[in-house]
Amino acid sequence: MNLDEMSQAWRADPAPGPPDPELVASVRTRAEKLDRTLRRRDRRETVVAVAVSLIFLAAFPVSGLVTRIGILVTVAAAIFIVFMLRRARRGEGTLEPDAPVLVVLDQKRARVGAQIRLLRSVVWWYILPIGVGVMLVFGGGVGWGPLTMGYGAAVVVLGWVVHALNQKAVRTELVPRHEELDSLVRELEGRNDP
Amino acid sequence: MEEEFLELVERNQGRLRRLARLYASDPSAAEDLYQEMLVQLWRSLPGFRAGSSLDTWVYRVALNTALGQRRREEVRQETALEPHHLASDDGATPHEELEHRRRLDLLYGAIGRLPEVDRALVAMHLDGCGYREMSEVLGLSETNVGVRLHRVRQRLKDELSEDER
Repeated sequence: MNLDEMSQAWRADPAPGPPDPELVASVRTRAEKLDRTLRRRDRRETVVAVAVSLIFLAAFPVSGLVTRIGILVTVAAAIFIVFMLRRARRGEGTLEPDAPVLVVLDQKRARVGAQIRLLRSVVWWYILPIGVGVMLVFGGGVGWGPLTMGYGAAVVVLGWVVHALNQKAVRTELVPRHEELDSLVRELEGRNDP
Repeated sequence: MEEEFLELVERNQGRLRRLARLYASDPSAAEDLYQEMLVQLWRSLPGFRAGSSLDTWVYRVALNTALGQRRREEVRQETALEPHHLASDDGATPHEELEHRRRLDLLYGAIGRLPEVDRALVAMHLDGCGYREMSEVLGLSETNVGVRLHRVRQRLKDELSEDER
């Protein structure tokens, strides 16, 4: 098959026809669903942070000094977590789906790289601040006896589980995704050429 | 916006379906990818600036959707054509139609074995795009596009001659 034949066969496929009359409705529904999902995800993080803050702050006036410090640490941690999550998603600039392919893939790669760094450091911006906050609240309330030690052990185990789940997500999802995007960017830049 | 969108789809559905088929592992995945391209076009349409090239814009959105999707399956499966690929009302005999389909399958198979970026180059080239348009879509220099396309065309010819033997 020569180039002209190739081109001819290529352009004749698929057989042209009018678009499905239901197309606009179906595309609009899918687009709206996608937008709703993105909005809901952002809203959910804020709602959780506000709810945690309100619950803890409600106890602030009737608490002792250590508990109050714990409440402030927990509220600050909740706000900081939302900030970190949003920064990771948006910090690398807005993805424009109609920008040149190399630009978009490079941005996506940078964004996934930022997510990997974020999840690898989850102990420092998520587990530790919240863990310290709730330990101070609990210890300040019931004293520093065996009950608090048991509670602390439970917090440590929970923190370890959260850490392990995040590292698994990095290994099984984000790193392979980063490698895919990296390979595509290298291919575009001609760096995969022999 | 609805009328604009329908017109856009009517004009571009052929190239969108071809791209979807090139980047999907099977007909069902190709249909999903085609739908996803349409969703991204719909969402991006309000940002389209009059005066820009509509073709370039369509290719960018479609290829960003195709190349940006997760590659769940490493191996592309060459599968039978979907019914809308088989439709022919140009008066061709069944034998001619069968031959046409066989050649088309060979072409898709050969392009599908190319690296992903090269698939985009070949698809745009066969659609009749010039170097400048390809470079604007991909974000590469025109020289780079020319050099790569020359190499890819040669590889495609070799693949097709091997397949036809």
